[in-house]
Amino acid sequence: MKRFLKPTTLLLVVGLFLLIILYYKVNPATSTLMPKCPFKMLTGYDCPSCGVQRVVHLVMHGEFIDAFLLNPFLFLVAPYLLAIIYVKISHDRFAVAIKPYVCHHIGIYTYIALYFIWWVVRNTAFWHNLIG
Amino acid sequence: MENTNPTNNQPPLAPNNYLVWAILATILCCWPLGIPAIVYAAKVDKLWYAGYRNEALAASNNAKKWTLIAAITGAVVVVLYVIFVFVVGIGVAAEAASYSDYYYY
Repeated sequence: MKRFLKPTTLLLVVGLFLLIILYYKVNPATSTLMPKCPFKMLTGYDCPSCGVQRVVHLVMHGEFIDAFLLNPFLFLVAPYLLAIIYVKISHDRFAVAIKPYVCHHIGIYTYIALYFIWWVVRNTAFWHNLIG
Repeated sequence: MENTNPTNNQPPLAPNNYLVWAILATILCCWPLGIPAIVYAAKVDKLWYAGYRNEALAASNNAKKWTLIAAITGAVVVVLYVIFVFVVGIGVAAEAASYSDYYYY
């Protein structure tokens, strides 16, 4: 008989479920217990993924526009990340066919470049004025 | 590893490039340590399909190493933060209790 779930997979699923409940119930913007970005605490500037907890909370409450304005980079990266996860998990013919493109180094270097560009842009007065 | 000819028609699968974990590390844990993980992850497939299989395996190991470093550092920072908040919280609560005649929080 095939085992239904590996213990590590079970642990991941349970952990993910608990995290989803936590981020639905607790608002990271107002709770002091939710972890803060060490870079932001030390320098006062936003890091590229600052806002990820608030984005998760807002998305789960259907506030997509507020979430998008908080960190558009995450929404830009999400499809790329989903594609990589799909290629990693699935081994069907489609996944095998797109893997060379999804895991191509040009895409990965583009991600790194966007990461640093977004990091600079989000800390400029231009961006703060744009978002209001 | 018996066949290292890059022109082989049926190449074996490339080693794990840990790209998912590397990118998640830059988003979720600790950005400076996730970047080398991504750079190594980018090299894995590139080197493998160019025929440099030993180098690809080395890059795969490096990607794994840096992803683990980033994840562990991120976890440590979160745990330290929560401990810090509890300690400060207990301190503030004790301080507030000593002034409880004047302040009601």
